[in-house]
Amino acid sequence: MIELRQLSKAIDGNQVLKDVSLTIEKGEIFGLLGRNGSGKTTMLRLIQQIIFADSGTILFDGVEIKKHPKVKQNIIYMPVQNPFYDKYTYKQLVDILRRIYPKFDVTYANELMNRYEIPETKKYRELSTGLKKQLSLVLSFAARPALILLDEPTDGIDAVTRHDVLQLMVDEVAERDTSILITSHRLEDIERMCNRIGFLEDNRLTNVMDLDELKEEYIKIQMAFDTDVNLAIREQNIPMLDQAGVFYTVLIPKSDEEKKSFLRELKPKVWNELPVNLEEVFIAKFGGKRRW
Amino acid sequence: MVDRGLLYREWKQNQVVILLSIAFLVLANPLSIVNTYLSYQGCLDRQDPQYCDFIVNYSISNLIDLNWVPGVILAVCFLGMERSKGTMDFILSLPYNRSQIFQTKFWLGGFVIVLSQLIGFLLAWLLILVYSPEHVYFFEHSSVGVIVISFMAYCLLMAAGALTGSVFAQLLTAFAAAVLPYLIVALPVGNFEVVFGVNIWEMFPSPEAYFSLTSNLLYLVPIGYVASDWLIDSKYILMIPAAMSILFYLIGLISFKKLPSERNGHFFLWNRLDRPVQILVMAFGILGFGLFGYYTGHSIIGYILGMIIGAVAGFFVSYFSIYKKTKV
Repeated sequence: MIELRQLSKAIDGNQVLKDVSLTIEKGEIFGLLGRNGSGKTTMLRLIQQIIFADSGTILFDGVEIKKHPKVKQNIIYMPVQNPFYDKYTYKQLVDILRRIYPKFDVTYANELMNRYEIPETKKYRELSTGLKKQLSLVLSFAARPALILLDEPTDGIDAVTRHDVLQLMVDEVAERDTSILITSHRLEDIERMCNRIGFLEDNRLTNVMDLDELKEEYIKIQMAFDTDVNLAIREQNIPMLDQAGVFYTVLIPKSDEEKKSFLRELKPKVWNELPVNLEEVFIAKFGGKRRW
Repeated sequence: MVDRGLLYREWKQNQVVILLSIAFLVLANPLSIVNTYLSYQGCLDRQDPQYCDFIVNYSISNLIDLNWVPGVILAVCFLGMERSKGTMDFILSLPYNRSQIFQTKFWLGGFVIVLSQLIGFLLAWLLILVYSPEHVYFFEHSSVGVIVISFMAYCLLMAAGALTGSVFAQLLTAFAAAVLPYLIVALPVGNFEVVFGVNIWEMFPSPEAYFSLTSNLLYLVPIGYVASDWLIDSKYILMIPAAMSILFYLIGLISFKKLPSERNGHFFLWNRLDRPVQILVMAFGILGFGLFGYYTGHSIIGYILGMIIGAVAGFFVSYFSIYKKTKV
């Protein structure tokens, strides 16, 4: 569907992205992780041709977007803030967008507005942060795009609204096979939504992984010992998620029988093997260094 | 070239400004006639008819002399405001190429300026037929000339908006470009006269030749057209602002297509312009303040002091305006 080939971009002399390549398939939700300033938003803006890449190409269904911008009728970018929407009501925005996106589905937009009880008569700037995000999503989905680029869609909203926003995205993908490229700081959101994730670090896209496979790779073990084994575990470079007295929680690759044997040789009184979440995998993979 | 969806977006975004511009440009010309007529009627009420003349003369101060102002405001709304408010990103994300975006904005404004004034011209012409003044001077020349000049001002502001990243930068760049030909010629000549103790006009065969040349050169300075001196010269003088319009349009189109939009908020979108323009501003500061220093006391000390002050002022003005990014 969308393919980024060897994308590089420097802004004011600073290299932001270097040789980034990525392919997102139909119906896939791809999570882009990275610290502030790592180039996540720049990558989305490059895809949408708001800014131009210094080198590399971006293809949508094999068509280069820069040369054929009309294919952007199939791609919607939802930034963190959209000042253009501010002075308009829902109806006015629909009126503008349906002339730009030929596939814009007013009936579907109305249905989503009713489902999420978003006020239709208020101007966008008068809505709460959560409602703004929801309205932006409704308008994005109603344009019937094949790919949606979401920049921090759950940033600054409460848990209930976040749940609604995520559900809206999940439903859309399930019903219409829309692809989504999402950036977020929230690992739990990424974990809940994405099929694959990638990490922007040092200008490059690294660790592009299938989320389920990734979680299958690791196992979390809760153990209890008679004695203090902290040093012994650390000497083996086993990531320790938690220690409370004689209770230890560690993370190891599922296939690492050597480390598992070592832990068993320490004669734990309790041994519980548990599934892991994304944050724990990251701690294991990146040695506890916070990178998101 | 111009997309309807994009055109509608521009219309919705700038509805109020466009309507006010149309209203002003349509009414300015007929209101000038009405104003002259009412003055004539007032005169008739107060004085004997033999002392009252109903003459429509466009060479004296007229409301249409301000017709360039809506063009400036429209161009600022189309480009500078979009960059300053952060709405430019939304437009660039839409399924259009940059050429289409610029052309849509440009021709929307262009048609507002030209068509509104043509309607105004037509209404004024009808009023002249109805009122039948004793004499009408410069009506066609002035009305058409003002259309050309206001379009040039609009093109200049659009070009400046395509080169710069904020409203302030757009206005300052447009003003600087509007006076640039004058500064490039007059400041070095003025300084030459001070340093070598000569008068340039003495080098000409006659003072008339000198003044003829300078007055003709003034037509190359865009800001010179704000005054209506061009009206008493040849009609073909208007070919100059027409040619300038084409030049500014091309500069705007190419700049909008090629320059990086990630520098919104910076003075120039193309950072390679920063240093040369800073040097130019400092040079003008040195030459301008030097002349000012010299003419306050007619001394070379004043001249040198002026130059030093000009260098410092030029450096700080250029540094803070060009290198300090405004918040977007």
